[in-house]
Amino acid sequence: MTSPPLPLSEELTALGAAGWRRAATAAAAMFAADVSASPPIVDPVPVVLDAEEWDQLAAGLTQRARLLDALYADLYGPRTVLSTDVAPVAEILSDPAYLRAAVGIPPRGPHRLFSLTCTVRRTAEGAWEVVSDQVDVPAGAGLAMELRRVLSRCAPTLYRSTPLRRLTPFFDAARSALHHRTRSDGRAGRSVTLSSGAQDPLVSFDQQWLANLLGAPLVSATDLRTGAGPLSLRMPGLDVEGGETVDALLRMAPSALVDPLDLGPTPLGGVTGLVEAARSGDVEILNPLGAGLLENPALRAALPDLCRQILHEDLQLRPADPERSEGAGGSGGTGGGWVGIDPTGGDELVPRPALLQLVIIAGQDGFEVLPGGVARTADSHPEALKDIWVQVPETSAPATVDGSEDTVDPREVIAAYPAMTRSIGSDLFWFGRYLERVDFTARLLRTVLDTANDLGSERSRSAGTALSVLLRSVTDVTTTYPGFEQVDHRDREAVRREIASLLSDTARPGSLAQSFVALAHTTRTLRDLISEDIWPVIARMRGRFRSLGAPGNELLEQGLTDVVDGCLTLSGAIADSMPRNLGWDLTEVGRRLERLLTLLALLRAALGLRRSRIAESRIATAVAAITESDTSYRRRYHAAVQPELLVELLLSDPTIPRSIAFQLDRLTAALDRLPELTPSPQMRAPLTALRARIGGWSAGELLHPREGTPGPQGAPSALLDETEAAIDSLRELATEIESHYFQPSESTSLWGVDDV
Amino acid sequence: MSESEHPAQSMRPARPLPPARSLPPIPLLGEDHEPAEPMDYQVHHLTSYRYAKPVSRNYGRAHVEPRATPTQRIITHEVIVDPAPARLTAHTDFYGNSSTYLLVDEVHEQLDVHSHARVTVSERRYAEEPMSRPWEQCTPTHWGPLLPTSSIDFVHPSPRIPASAAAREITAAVFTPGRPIGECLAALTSLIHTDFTYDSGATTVTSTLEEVLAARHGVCQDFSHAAVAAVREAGLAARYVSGYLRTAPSAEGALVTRPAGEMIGSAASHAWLSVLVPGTGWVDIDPTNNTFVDRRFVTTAWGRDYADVPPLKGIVVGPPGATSTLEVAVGVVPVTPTAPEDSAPDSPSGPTAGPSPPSADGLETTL
Repeated sequence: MTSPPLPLSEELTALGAAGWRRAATAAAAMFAADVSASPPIVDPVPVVLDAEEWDQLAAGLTQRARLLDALYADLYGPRTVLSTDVAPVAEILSDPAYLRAAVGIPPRGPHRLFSLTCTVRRTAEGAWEVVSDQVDVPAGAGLAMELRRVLSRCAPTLYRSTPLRRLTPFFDAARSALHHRTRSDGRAGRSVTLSSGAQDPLVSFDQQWLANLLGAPLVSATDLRTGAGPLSLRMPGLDVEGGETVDALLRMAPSALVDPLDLGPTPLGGVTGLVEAARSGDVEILNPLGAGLLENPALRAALPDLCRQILHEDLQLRPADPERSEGAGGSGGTGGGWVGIDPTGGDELVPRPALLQLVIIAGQDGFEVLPGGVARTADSHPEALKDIWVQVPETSAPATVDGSEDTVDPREVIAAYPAMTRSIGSDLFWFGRYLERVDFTARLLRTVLDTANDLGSERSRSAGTALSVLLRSVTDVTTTYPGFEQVDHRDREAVRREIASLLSDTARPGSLAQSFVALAHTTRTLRDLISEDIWPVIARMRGRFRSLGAPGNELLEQGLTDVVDGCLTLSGAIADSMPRNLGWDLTEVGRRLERLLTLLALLRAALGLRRSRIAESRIATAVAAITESDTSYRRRYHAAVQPELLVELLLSDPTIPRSIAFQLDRLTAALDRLPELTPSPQMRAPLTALRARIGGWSAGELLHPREGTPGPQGAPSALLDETEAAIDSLRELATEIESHYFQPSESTSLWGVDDV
Repeated sequence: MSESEHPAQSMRPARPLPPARSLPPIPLLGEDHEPAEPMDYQVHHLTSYRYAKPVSRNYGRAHVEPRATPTQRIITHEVIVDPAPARLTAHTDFYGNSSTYLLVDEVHEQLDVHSHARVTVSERRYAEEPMSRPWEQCTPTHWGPLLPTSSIDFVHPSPRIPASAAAREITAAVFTPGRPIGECLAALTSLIHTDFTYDSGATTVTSTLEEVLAARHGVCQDFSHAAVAAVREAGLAARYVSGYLRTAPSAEGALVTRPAGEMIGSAASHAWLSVLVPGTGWVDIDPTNNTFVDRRFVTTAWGRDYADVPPLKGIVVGPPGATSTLEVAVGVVPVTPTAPEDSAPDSPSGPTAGPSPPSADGLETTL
């Protein structure tokens, strides 16, 4: 067991057991908080490796990377190893991870492998051994960054105590190495990251962060296309002409799932012809296809012999003996461990064995090991995550470790990334829509709740009518039928129950909670496109919804206000931090479209039937509050809120950000900025129809009661049909935008396998 | 050899006994053997898809180029795709086969892939001594230093030929202790030929080995898979071979399509298997036609099973619901070895090079 270095020990003592636990709790809550995974157990006491021990371990890991790299080159090239008696030939050949279709793809750089992850442990004797390798899809770099980020915030005194190697210079170097590698014809190369579509939110979190660090935007298989020319990205709406050329593909999807033509059917859809694109040198796939073969257990066991044969060196890091358990207690096995918080609740630091997940990436001058990583405790207690510290050698000149690389010609580092792909464009569009839906639903519920509190005590008929109309409007606008159709509007408890359900029931389509889940879902691929600052906001909102869902919660009003606050913060982050490019335009289109849709639905539900003057005034007051137009109303009209005047205001005042006029202006402007290869009349038609219809509206005519006697529900006005027609046009426009910009208009099918 | 020697048969009393088997003759190298003349063939393999709606792109992977072997020489080969492909490339695959990639990147309603080849096929004869060794001496431990270690690839189960209890019954019936390997191969060929019913409607290529072994029905691919499985169960190396059969009338007599013809599986792509016999190399047998492979066979590719070497497969990108119809035609026409340049009907400028229908010469259509 290694004791922490002295300054760290002192800070740990200063914090005390309560301090460690506080830091652990805070860090766990902050760790990947915007991702819907249960928080991990975090131990703020790091695994500390001094410079000397680290250098030895890193040398062993880079040797391992060189060996695996040479093995890949041989097994997917001349295959001389298969004619030797050193390699486990039978096990290699019968491994389904050996993708024969990937044999003979020529190398593009000095290394075949780009990255690998090794999990190592320290034995009781102090030697290092490798427990597992992840070569097909390496993992852990993003989680290492996240752990460092949250712990340095939650335990700042610990992080100030000891000089340790930083992580970002490593990724900066890896990014420039990647760009160097993909540079061709004097222009900077373009790299993208092919998403795995992993269901595990932490896995995709990890991959997204790595993509971000390496400057290789995340794309999905449907965003890529092979053709007569190089591999290209399919841009939103631009399908005919090839999009942007892709020079390198950071592959986070398992090898076997990326090309249905040469590697077989795949649930990911895959990129047809990708193997051939790699073979012809159009694109470099990193890690190369079939690298998972290097995880073969028999091959790993033979590495000591293979290392002598191929590298003419002795293997420095032995493979862990699978027979030996991970030293949980007993047999002096704690010698390899590190101190940490006592998992049984004691107030002393106790030694615990841990597995270290370390990331190796090919740099310009060979393989480099990330000076840090994630340690996972490995004993009989639940796994805790620990940061790994690599101490800066006392004598080192820091400039050489973290210093600036030699300067490069700016032309060579400009990657000129396209803003996005189809799938990301779709996510941005829906991000905008769900943001507005959450915002509008929260404002609607908040105002209706206020009104119910206000009018509930009043026994007048008009108050009853106004409340009923507003409650029914909630059900209509959120389409959460039967909803308030089946609730006695005078039963305050029943009303609150229904509002609570609309607020917190994630399983109920149209509820606020469900819309928020959808909103959070759209953000999963947008990590590098929207401001970093939105993640804490989303995490807080998620926490809020979780507590609102708890039984017995009576703080509905506060909860709704918090949701509105969250939406405001998100809007602010978008307005202040998002580049005004195609992505912003798509978000804007989504927001304006959704805001207009909900606004029209509200007007229709609340004001479509004429009521008594006094009831209408109450309803219109609520609508003015929901649409934040009450101040403008009071300034313009010195009268109580009347439906005609309010509708006129919303129709015609383009300065009110929640007015109809405002949405139409912004929607048209954003649509005009979207790229179109050829103008699409199908897409324009609904917008033209909508503008013409709304342009012809006047509040007086819209709200004029129809001929005939008013029923018990009030007198129907033209507003009913007109808003319905406008909503139809909007829906049509939304469908056209989706099919035009985001959806593949074609399908693929396999032929020939059945045809003999 | 009598029927009672076969436990596989006695275990299925409900099945009527197959007619007495005639074992195919083993082509041995005799002392006084006169080598037969090599045969020259003009090969034309056409795969043609018609689409109900125009499709926008088409990707294909083909194993249609005949490969050079000790008994087969390739004089010319060419793949012609109509419409003109945006990409047409070939590389040598893991098994040494030629693998062709094609991409049509324009709107089209039909796709024709022609493979034209001119090949010379020599007689195959095997030395008597290795073919007389007990089959147990053909397992990897007896391969010796001259055979590549990687041939072990063909001993293991493969994706389309998993380990199979039903195949072990065939193994037990054929590979009786101490039996000479040549006789084993003849018996295996005969057993499958007799025991299995050729029925192109019974299976598709996606039928599993288990289904084929249970139904005792199938096409040449299935017969080959079944036989490969039985050989591998015995611990020997067996590979799946894809190719063609001679199709057209020749001076020696008719070899045309079934049912009238003498050979099953001609006029389409064909498949058989090859077994590694130390001392003489790979020995090819065709259970579909109950014969050792001879000068009537043109080899295109081999692998562990069908999935490694489908003649032509692909992915079409088009409007949802675009259906297609398929025609396949194969001609393997004997030609006189003299003056091949003048008579070659498949030069790129010839009538079959373009979109016009291929010459009907010797083309027999199936499906």
